[in-house]
Amino acid sequence: MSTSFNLVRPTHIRWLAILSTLSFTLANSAYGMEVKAFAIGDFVPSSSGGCGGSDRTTWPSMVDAWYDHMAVHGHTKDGQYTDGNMTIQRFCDPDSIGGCLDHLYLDEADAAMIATHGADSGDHWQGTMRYSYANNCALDAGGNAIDMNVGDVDLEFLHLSSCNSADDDNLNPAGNLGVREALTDPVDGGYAHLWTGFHGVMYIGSGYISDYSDFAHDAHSVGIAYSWVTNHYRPDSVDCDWYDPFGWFGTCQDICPVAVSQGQTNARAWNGIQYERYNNVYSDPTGNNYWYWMGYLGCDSVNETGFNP
Amino acid sequence: MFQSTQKILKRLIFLIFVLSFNQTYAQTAPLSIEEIVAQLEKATPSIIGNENSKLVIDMMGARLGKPISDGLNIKSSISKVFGRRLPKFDPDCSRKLTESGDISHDLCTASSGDKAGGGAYLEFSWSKSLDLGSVKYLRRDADGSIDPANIPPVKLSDDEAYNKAITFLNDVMGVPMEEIPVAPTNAVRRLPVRTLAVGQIGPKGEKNVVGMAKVVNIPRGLMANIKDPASGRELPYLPAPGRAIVVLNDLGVLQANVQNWSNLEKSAMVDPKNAKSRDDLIKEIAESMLQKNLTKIGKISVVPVISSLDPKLSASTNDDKHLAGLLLPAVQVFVSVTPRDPSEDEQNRSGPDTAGFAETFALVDFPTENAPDDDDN
Repeated sequence: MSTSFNLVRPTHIRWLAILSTLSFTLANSAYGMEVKAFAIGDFVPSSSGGCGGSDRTTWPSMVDAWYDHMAVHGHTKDGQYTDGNMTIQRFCDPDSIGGCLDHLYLDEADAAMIATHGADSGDHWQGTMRYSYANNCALDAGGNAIDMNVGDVDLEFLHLSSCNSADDDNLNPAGNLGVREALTDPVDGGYAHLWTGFHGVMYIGSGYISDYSDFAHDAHSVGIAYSWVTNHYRPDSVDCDWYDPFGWFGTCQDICPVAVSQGQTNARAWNGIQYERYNNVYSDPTGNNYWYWMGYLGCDSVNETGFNP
Repeated sequence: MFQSTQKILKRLIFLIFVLSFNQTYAQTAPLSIEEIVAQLEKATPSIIGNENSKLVIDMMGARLGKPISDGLNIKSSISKVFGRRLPKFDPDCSRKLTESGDISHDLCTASSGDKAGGGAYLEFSWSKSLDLGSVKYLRRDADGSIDPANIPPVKLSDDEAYNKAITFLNDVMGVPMEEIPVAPTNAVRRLPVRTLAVGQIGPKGEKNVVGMAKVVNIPRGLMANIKDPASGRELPYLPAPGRAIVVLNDLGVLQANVQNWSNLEKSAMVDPKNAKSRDDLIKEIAESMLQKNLTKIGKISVVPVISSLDPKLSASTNDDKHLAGLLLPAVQVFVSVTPRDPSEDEQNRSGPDTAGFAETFALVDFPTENAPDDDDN
């Protein structure tokens, strides 16, 4: 298949594209997914045997808003984990680290959200846990990291309420597939559909709770990726000088949501970023050679420069 | 065999990263209250002095527009949205109270098309209690309607997008124009319009980026003309509860979401004589921040805003159907704990603590029996 993106296609090929799109959706037109939520609001200081990080007590409420609203739309609440014994064990793959249990936790869900402090660690995202497991205080995912490999069990949609979870330089770093490394299992196979996160820092507060329920709601009417990037987008809203709350004088920074899809063909990856919804789930990708991101070029968040993948 | 070699290589590279960046973070001691107060002193603007009665009076003078509960003509909006199509209405629309008898926070939805599946779909929703101020419009084209080999780029200018967006918000969604803040002529960023883009990447790294839509983000602002005599700075609008986002392409509005643009009313319960002093306010904020075990602060922003007090405290809520929040002068505090534009190296060293946070603090004290539940912007 040609990989040129700028061909003007004849009409009959356009209709074939529409028909092939529809055939993908026939494979799974019924919805009713299992959803899971993992949130840390109460971090544990290293002096108390934990992994550190300052508290954000409203964070679990933000994730709850998504989780609860998914149930309103008919999905099954399959597990809500807040604070407690949050270690990488729930997220890592046993092929990578012995004793890992993602097949009982993260990858057992169809859609899952993880909320925790996140950092840019070289070529991938790194999420702070509450306690260490296998000498790991951080969940490393994507790039050259080995902790997370999802899509071999069940997970289709992974949402990261976490800083630096979709930094532009980690989407496709040199030498590896970036975020897509975490969305497949090289040993067992399988591919997840979508990763959503943030370029740079995101913020915690009760004013953001509605964004999460709105995201869940809208992702049944419009694409999940599109719902993520519109509902979580807060331009010129943070770090503003007191006289510039609307960003008119350039003193503010943005909150920059990003979505990433993957597929074995351009069409499958496109369907994932543009059309896939919680009630319109496509068949699993069978490869990840093609991918799309959706976001705002130039979006300038704290802890990052303007989004420019 | 190849897979095992690949796996070993990957583990080796990862271990090098781990050893370089130290997985078990060394944590410095949490900031003391004195350290936090010192940072807040620097961040809190001079407009917040030790006597804030006048500031509270000026903020209470913020101009309210016509609330959405009065401005939204649902019948007319449905006609504009659906034209000659007869929409379906959620059977729940007539249920305005929850099972426990409280006012429902749900939306009533009118729609056309099948919400599930790959077909086209159109939706218009509004808060069952319009005082809560949420209105939504969503338009979805059928799956496959855009050929990925020929994604049409949006050609709409920012000015066109902005004008169409505010017209739609006022005309169809009931948002009052007086509460849409207008940038001054000396603004560096006049229009709150950005471009939503998709990037296509193929197996050989071939790339194509297409700007697909314009996104207009409108935070709610109330005209107030607050002036700081010390610095000469002015705040022509105060941020208030609610925001709207409109997504458009060259064919029109794809989505409009008005979120929590709630009804506000002024009340004698908010008494300027009870304005907090600067010292008391800083102490209150510092004590809240102390609870978070912060070890570092990047920047603190302290911004005067209009917040909304628990509507149960409103004298008007003797009427069970009325949910207006009390207009409350407040400050919104944003704290970031990382640098603004760090290098990749600095990012790698940011440690376990990265998310910023935002909280709202009233500028006015209340007698103990009427102490509010804070309701953040």
